[in-house]
Amino acid sequence: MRPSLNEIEIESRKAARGAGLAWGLAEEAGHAVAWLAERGVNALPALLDMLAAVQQGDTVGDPLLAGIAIADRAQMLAEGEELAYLQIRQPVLILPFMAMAARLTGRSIVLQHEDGVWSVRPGREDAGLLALSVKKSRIVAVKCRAEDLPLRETVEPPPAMRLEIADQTWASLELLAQRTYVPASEESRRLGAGAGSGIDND
Amino acid sequence: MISELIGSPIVTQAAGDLDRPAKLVARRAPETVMTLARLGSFHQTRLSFLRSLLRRVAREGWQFYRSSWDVDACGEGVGVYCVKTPYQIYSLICFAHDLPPEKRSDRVIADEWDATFVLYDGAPTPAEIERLRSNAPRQEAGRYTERDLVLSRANRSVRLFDHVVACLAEGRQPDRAELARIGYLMRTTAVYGNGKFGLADRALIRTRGEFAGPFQAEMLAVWLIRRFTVDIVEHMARQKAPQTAVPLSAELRRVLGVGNATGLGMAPFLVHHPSLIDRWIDARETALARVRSLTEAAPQSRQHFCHGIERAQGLAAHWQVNDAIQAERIDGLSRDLACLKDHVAVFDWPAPLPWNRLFIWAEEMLGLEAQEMLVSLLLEPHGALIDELADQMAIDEVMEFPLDGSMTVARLRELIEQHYGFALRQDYEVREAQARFWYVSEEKLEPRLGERFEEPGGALEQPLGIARDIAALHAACLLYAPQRPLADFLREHPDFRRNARRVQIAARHPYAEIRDNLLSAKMRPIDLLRCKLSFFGAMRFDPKSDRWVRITLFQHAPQPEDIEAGDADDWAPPPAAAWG
Repeated sequence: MRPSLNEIEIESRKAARGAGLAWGLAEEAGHAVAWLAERGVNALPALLDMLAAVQQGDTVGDPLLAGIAIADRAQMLAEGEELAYLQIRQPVLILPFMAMAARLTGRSIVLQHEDGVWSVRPGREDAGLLALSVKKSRIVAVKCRAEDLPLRETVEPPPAMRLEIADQTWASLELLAQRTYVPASEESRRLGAGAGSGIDND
Repeated sequence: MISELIGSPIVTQAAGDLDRPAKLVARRAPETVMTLARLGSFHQTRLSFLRSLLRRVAREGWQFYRSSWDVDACGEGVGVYCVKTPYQIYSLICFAHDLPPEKRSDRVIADEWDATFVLYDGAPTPAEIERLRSNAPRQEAGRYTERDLVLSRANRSVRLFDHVVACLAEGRQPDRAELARIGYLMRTTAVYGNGKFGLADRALIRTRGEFAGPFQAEMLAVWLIRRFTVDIVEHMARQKAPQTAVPLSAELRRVLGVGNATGLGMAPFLVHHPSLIDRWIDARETALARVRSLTEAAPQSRQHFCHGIERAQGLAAHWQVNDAIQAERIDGLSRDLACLKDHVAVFDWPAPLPWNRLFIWAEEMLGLEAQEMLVSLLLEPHGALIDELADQMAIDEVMEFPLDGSMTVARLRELIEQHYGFALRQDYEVREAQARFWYVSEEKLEPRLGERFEEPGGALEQPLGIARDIAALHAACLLYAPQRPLADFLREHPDFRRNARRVQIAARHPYAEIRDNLLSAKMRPIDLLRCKLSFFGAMRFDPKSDRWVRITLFQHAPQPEDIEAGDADDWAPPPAAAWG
């Protein structure tokens, strides 16, 4: 299956909603996954893993909430605030939010954790970081702050081809998305779309 | 972006700008424009997307040719139309089918059609045509690629198609008045783009000048479909009577548009794209304000406008519907246009700001259908002043997405009070205020409208109850420490996240929000449809219920060969003679 970016965004949003997230959080999830897909990164398995935890009520290390905090607090980070997390699961999902915060503030957003330092510079893409982060299932002892980093040569990701998504992955997404749909009844078939007989005699 | 004022009194502009009016009349206030009643009274304007497409086609000298036609005697086969723009070639690949009448349905949920179409990026190879042949006829059940820009399908008009084939086969032209009355040989029931079913994402083509404006690829597809509908009747006539058949005359080809049936599927779009809708309305309102700001009416514009009133009268006279409410509105439009004509005949043209005085008079004297028709008529003679606004009707929504979490809760509350008075005035405890809910049906994956107190499914409602939900957000803000940042508030109340974002968007984009309750028992979804369709450039809105509508697109517009002959833009409203 080679879905369009729009399909990836919409299906991710629906799946997140189906897993029980608020609409506004589901929108963030769709946005983040599509941002990554546009840069050649398949974050759907990461999203599904996160949504599995959500359904068990487990929000410890939730990457969506961590990412949203970074983007929402971009201005405060720029003013010197520091965020700290014991751990972040599926950390690839926070990169879109770091990029957003970097763009909004014009500062670099730096994530320091046990395995290293990840930084996202405003308006710069870093193929190396995208490839590295998607392989990590979690990072621990994380601190996030804004810095003025000197511009460093980064490798821009090549123009992304459409992602090849495993049928199983897409099916899992659709299964969650399905929970947002209302089953049809005779009543809704008759009234819901407001059409008449449906036979075209025009 | 042009900084023109909204909703404040006339002010003096800096002197010396000769290209612009010396005085600026403010744009109409969002509270005035963004009600369902008014949005549901919009008509095509010269900023509508099919109008801007045709102007571009003429300006850039696009070339058209039919590169292949392989259709059999029963009308089964494939035709390909190519468009050569200065930048790129596009092709409309048309699959013609021979559908038994009982299979023909207007509904988006049908599964067979008389013809199916793909607008393709480039000139297709035979292998690509084969790929599409096994997908396009299945529409939503097929899969598409980045090369496929638009997917559509159409059914024959039962009233007109066979009749026209029979006439042409007998060697005579069909009756113009009958063609004009029905308006199309085929009617599309969906036109898909932007990544649906694997089609190209809009992000892929938005950087191309020809598709930078909204829905330009979709409009191009429909315009070419219109050309196909002429070719297929001529083909069928020739098959029927090769000795006597004649082609449809050039004049009659123009009379025919493409029909379209649109239902609830389109309704949520306006709500889900607030910053985009703001751009559309902003362009239209800015154009109106520019015309109203003209200190005098040039004789040529005045004449153009006066002809426009007569043309609009012709349109109203040929706009026939069964829907009782719309029929009454059209009667009112006809009466108002007569009244406008009388007023214009005795109007004091030489006094300053004539267009503005005329508009203020109309706001007092005319109904909404006629007021909004007047907007269209005022814009029509002023292309040089306003056409460039068509280039400002798109927006990169990704840039609008970030939420400013450093805003204080008190500030958010102020913004709600400033922009959502309509939402705060409503009592949502009253059943009528929440009578409906929007949902997506599992069976068809299409938006639907349910009765909250009569049907199950309310728990799965889609987030279109903006007014109710913003009122709830406002109430929650009142209970929260006012100076704390929104980021804190939303961490504790994630359910409000979506609408907090909306409020910030609405604060930047004054025309982003429809100022009505979309859950109300009194809400008419066709108002949403009509607004969007008017921006496409639709005419003759024909409501079939309060939730779906038939329209025509491109009726009386030039065909590709007319534009090549130099005729692009002076066709709306159509001249009286066009109706036969």
